[in-house]
Amino acid sequence: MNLHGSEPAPASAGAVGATGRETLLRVRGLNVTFGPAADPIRSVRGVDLDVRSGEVVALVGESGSGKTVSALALLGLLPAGARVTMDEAVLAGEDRAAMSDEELRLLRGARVGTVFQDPLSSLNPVQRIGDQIVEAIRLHRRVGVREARRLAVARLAQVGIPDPERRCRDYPHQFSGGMRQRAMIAMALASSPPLLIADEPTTALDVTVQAQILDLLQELRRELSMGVLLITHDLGVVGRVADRVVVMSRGEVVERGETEQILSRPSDPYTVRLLDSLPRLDVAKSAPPAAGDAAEEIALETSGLEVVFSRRRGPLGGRALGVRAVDDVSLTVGAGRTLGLVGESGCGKTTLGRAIVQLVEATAGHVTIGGTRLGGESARRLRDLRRHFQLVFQDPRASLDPRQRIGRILEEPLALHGLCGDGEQRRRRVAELLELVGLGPEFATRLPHELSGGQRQRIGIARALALEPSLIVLDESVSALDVAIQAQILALLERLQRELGIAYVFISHDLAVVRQIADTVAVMYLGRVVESGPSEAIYRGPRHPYTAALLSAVPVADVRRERARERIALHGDPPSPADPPSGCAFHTRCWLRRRLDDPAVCTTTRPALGGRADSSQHRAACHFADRQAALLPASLLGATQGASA
Amino acid sequence: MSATVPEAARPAPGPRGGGRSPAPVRRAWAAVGEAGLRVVAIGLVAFLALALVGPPLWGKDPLAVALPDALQPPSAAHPFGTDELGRDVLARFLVGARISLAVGVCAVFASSVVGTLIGAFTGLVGGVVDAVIGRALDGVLAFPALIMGMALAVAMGPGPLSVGLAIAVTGVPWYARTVRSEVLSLRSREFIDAQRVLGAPTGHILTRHVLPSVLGGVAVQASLGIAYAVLAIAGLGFLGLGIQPPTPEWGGMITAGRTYLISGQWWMSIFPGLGILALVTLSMALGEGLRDHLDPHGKLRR
Repeated sequence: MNLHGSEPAPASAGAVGATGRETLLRVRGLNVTFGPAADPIRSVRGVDLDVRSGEVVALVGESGSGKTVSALALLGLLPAGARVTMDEAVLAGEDRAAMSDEELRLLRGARVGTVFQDPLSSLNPVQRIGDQIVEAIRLHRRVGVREARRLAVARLAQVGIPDPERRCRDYPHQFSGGMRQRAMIAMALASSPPLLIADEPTTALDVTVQAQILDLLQELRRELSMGVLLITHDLGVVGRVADRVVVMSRGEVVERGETEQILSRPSDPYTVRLLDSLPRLDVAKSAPPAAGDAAEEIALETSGLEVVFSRRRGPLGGRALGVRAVDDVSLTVGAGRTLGLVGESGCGKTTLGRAIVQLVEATAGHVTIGGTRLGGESARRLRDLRRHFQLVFQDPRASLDPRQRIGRILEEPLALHGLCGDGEQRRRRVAELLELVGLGPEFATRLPHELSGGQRQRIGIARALALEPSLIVLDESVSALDVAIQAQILALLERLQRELGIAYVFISHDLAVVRQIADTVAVMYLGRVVESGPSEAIYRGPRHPYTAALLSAVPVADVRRERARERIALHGDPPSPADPPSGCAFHTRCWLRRRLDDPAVCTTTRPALGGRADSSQHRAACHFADRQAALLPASLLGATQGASA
Repeated sequence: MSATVPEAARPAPGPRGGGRSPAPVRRAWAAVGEAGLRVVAIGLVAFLALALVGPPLWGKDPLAVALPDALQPPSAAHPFGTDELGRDVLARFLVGARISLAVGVCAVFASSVVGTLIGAFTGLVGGVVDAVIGRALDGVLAFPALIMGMALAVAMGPGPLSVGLAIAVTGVPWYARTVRSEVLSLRSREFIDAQRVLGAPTGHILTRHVLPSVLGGVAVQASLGIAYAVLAIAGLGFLGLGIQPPTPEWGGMITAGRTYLISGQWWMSIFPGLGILALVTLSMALGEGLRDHLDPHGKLRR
């Protein structure tokens, strides 16, 4: 066997060795090229990979590093134009290089299971979940429909879907995101393949659901002794589940080794940079402003804000259905400060952001920005007022008009508000704005699709800055970016805040990013703020069980801490906002309530957002907020203060 | 590990798939594509010129009956021959082109403008108005242009007006539907929300961001619409419900020549038929060319 790989391979590679570990995947010198032969794009260059049974190997890199292309090449799933070569490849015990397309097709599913990022687009929307799994089973096994159905139910039960008999008959849209990903994994496991290739399986999921899926992967690895090739960009996820790591950059492997070694003592500069740009739960905002300044100016205040989306049933009226997307939210943000708005998808944080910038009409309560109370003014007056508050969207690709040049995009707000009169002045202002966000004046003549994701987001920010607002709402504005770019944009936002004194409402599902930028934090659950207060206080000592669970679910890129952490497991998915539970909306998933032997008050009375005597700023909506601290796991954050406490 | 692949090991670039062939081939292909649209444009301009200045240049009266010259095959004096009344087929062909183009273009212009307005309006307003107008348009959609043409011919008497009106009315729902769905999808796009956040009035959003995105689709639909209009005009003429003789109209000319096809006087029907074929093909090609050209992700765009 070939042992010239750059990693220390065990002597028994390729066979069942002394450790009982079988090599499931072994590739040497994988190359993938696209494009014309004269001018090829070499997406993957000389990649070596090994996965043995019972281990999780993480393939890590930024977008475009070639990690997904490598996996697709091994599975023979690349489009016709790709040219794949390899010196040697063993896939699930068979010689991959010598395989025909047909043999490869039979191997996929039978011996190698695959899970992709987006479970919604990977499932057939018009076919029942059970039928899809039955189909997957019968593709590779000669079993009757009834036997296959029994197996399908067993698989669904195995991946932790409650009541699998019944859920089998559901369609994909009836499943939540996490359940869909479980169903995808059940399908991948259909014929008990020894090897699972999972491409960003948790990227589209909320942290609490991500934690569940990662636990599931761990379990499968342990109990079925599967080998897992996990493709991810998230080093936290790596720290949580991977045994070994392969780091890719620009189509090449730059570093490989044991997870602990890579995460704590990376040797390649690229890995070092990747780790450095990672936002960390245990590192606060770099320059926290002086706290407790009573005379502070208020940039934004919402009081009792409520947004109800109502939809009439049927054309003839009938009972109106209301979804309370934002429910009685009162917040304040000081001038030049940042409020982090955190919660899982569907918690109403985006709607709240949109209500603040008057893109969605509030059904009750009001918004006050810079001392002006909004609501009820004429459309014209509102348009004028809009220059004081701006919104930066999540996806800059969708929020920039694709047929406008950057210069035109940045001039538009100036023209709309009659700022910077003539053309020459306006061009100067555009150049100024571009410089402000770290881009050269030559960008003015480009079209949005000619820019990278990070550059486009800078344009989105520049457009918001054009009107010199006092408040900017950032709705998941860095979520779609690679960590390195994300770190740059965060640094840019902090700099702009220091220089221009803008207040931010920073909406994100990523608690680590929020920690890095926010002065105060508000945690939302089903439309309501369940905990709010100074960032430092919340991250060090959450007072609401939901916040504690969120923090506990965030994986940390530090193996020892990550594996020593005692985790709070949240079960199930958030309930539907159209039909929230009675009393405290969180009681259906609350771990604290279970610890306290299910007090009745949780299901009957909705707790108010209340403070504690010694810190009025830090408020939580929980009947037992003060009893939580004693029950929290000591190493909640996997962070230093956890160890010192 | 071996980082480089021997040149021979690389599969040769396939002959199919323009996107992956060598750069010069790709450029040539793109140029042909562009030239294709140019050829179509030249063809259409030539047709237009023929219709506009053809009749006075050729100078023969399309209505002058000369019974002694009846049913003559193509010759130097009559390149397209003569019909059963001795009228010059080329003169009639040229005037026929004029009528097809004029009626077709006017009808398509009218229906695209009305359809775009209705579509943009219903798409923006939504709700009950949208539902009611939508059902009404569906009702109109149930009538093919030919049936509508027959009904109008009976009601208002056959002629260019009834033909044009039939084509215009039956065309409206197509434009309205295209524009409405486009506006609906645009309305939910984030860059429209971004404009509202910046404080742009609705009118500004409509004219600067919505309409420019919609007009491309309308142009494509309209050029395909001209093809259908030409066919409908000829179809109604063929049935005797369109523009009435003695006005030369291609459909009517084909009907008149039909009985003589068996006895060997092919020129009376074939030339107007070729005219229809050419005009329909050109407008179809224009529509498809425009669609490729306007697609921001199209392969021709560089």
